[in-house]
Amino acid sequence: MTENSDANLVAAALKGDAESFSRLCEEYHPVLVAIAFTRLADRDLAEDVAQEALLAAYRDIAKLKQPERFAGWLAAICRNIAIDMARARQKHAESVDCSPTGSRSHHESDIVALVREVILELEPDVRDIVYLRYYSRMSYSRIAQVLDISEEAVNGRLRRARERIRQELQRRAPTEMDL
Amino acid sequence: MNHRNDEDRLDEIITRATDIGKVEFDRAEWLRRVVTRPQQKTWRRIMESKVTRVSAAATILVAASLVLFNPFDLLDTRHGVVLAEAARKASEMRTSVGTCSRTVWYQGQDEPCLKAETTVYASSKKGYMEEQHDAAGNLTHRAYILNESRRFVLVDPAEKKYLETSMSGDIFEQIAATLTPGGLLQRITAGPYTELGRRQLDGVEVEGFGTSDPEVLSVPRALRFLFPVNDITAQVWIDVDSSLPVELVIHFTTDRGLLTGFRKLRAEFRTHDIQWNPEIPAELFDPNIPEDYTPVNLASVTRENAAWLGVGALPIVGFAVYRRRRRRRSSRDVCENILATSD
Repeated sequence: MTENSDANLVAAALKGDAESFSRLCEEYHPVLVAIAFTRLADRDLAEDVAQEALLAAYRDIAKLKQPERFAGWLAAICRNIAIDMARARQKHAESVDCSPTGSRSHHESDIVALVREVILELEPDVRDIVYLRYYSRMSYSRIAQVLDISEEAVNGRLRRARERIRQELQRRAPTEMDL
Repeated sequence: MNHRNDEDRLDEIITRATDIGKVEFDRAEWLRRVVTRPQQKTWRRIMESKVTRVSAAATILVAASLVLFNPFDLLDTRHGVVLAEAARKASEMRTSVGTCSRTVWYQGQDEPCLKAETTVYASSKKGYMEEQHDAAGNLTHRAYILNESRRFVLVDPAEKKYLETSMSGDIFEQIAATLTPGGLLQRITAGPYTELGRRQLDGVEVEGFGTSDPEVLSVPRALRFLFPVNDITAQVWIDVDSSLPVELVIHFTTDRGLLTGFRKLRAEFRTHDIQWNPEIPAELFDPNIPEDYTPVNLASVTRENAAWLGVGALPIVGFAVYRRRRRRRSSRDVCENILATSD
């Protein structure tokens, strides 16, 4: 979906067109779940946050001064709700606190779990990019639009994230990974 | 392994590591429920998330409103002598005042997230009023359910805000009928219950009755998605001399809901020090909201977005119901109830 089509849908939604708003919901719901998941590491909670974000957007859509920036505005709402929820929770994600696993042999599922841990250790804004790129399969330009940053920033942060993952894999599972 | 293969391998692993499963938004279902139904202004107010998401006071209040309390209209004499007499006596009471000690935990945690003492006033004529203080003695809220105007009012002195909404039809009746100690007694006696025997309570001989029947003690079906209470157990302890309830204890757990702040909760509400037929000043049931208090949630409803809001409350209800529908088949019935009971 392009900025223009977003803007058209938002404009229609502002006039009370539920169909248009539902299309925006449909488009962004998975993206919001991904963004919320990077803060909460809990799929159910992430879905709840995504719904709340859509609800808040519905409520406050009249405050959106630039309809073409709907994606970034909506993502920011979602991020803030997720952060509020994360703050209120006790330290929860085992993966965040996972300690290095030494030099034991890793099976494939272990490697995936290890990478998941490393991703959850990344800075939250970098996590967003990783999930939007790999889970939501979004282009760099689309990620830039949703996160309201430049494409160069997306490229740079994603490159650094990959490098960090690679290094951690080599450190934590050197016998299995030769990346 | 060459560089290209390394990169592909890394991409593949990251893709798998970030896979949280397919997420779908059922637009057709959402539209069907949103567009084809009339407006529901009352529900929009109740569901407005700014109130419901953050307000522990509202959460606890509504929990209390939905599952607790009540002494009136106890005419069922099918049960044993003690219960029947208690029901008869309670039905004669015009007023009651009690203290409800409320403790709420997030499920899985040992430390409560809320400990509060709430003074609860009930009048068969005026309605219901409660005043809650936290563990530090700070007033956290006053809440009213007013018979004459059929209004629900929640006042938050700390924030100088208030929520006010009308409640019509069956929903008001269901809530208003369960707001006092006798109401709970009535609920318990309406279905299967367990005799708990006799014991001494603060020097008084009491006889207990309990139930965990979900059909007897439950949040009204149409409200479950707001506050999805599960596993309620309730006990009532009746003074064998006066034949009036002296202690009521409820334990319940919840699923995630809008009014639980999307948390799973467990709670204990213990009502004690109940006075029957005390004089309650009529002014106590007047919210008397100071002029500098602001209404919650209505501020965002401006003329500019009135057209949009004209779509009605159903989008919001739809969100909530949609989520539950995905997780529980029976939520379709819940939605139908909501639609049927809204104004």
